[in-house]
Amino acid sequence: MSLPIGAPAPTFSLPAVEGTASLDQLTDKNAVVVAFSCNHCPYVMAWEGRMNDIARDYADKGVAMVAINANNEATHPADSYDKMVERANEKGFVFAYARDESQEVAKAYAAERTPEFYVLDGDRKVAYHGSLDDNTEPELATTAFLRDALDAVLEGKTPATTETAAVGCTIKWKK
Amino acid sequence: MPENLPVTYLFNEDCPSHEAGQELLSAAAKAAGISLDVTVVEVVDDDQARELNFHGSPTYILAGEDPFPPPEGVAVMAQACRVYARSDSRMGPLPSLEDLATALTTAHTRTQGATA
Repeated sequence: MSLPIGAPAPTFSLPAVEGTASLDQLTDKNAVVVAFSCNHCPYVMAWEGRMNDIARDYADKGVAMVAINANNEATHPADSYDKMVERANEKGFVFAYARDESQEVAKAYAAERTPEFYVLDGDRKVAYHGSLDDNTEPELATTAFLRDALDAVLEGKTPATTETAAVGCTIKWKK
Repeated sequence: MPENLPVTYLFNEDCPSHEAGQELLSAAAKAAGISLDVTVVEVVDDDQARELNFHGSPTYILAGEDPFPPPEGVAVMAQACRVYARSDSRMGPLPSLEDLATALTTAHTRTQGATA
């Protein structure tokens, strides 16, 4: 069962490609996007350029994005920390990219897929949960769920759409 | 009269692209003007994935050959979405319509040549 809209966001502090990604270090931000992501999934590959665009476009509006990779690297070596560093550098990620080795953060958010997005408002409550937009092909996307949610939150409003289905690969849990 | 092209469509329910992948196959066949005999196989565990050399869902086997060889090092396991490096330089969960139609045409030509 997913984290309900309006629920307080679980805090975290995780090793990231650069330093540490901690929700408690983002108290000055107007909103935070927590994105469960990874390296190996083709859905992430299809959307990660748009993730980077959003992180860049909203940085000046006081929005931070943290992508969290919780996948089991034993079964998916492409999702190891070292591979994350390579990917972030290759793609020029402007968002934090953190490793959830214990998978505890993914479990706390009840995340199931990559990519899967949570928008946290200024009180760090969940304001939106789901997909970035409605198509892996950027030219076919008609509704920008994540941007719309951020715009609403920055205006102090409730997003018109608060939940959509996250479409992507399942998180690869340890057994 | 040309025979239908045999296609094995391998998928795993864990990956959400399998329905769109079948629709894409039909659209690509129509675009290429080729009739298909499609066998749909659900890959349910890693043993079956290894047996079928399954590199993620969906996988198209056209007349016995995989037209989109995966990069080296890609895991062979049931619960995986396949990565398609497309000719438009994008990466995604499905090939482009054009890439799949071209692959169908190539496989069809190969099989027709073999049976001529």
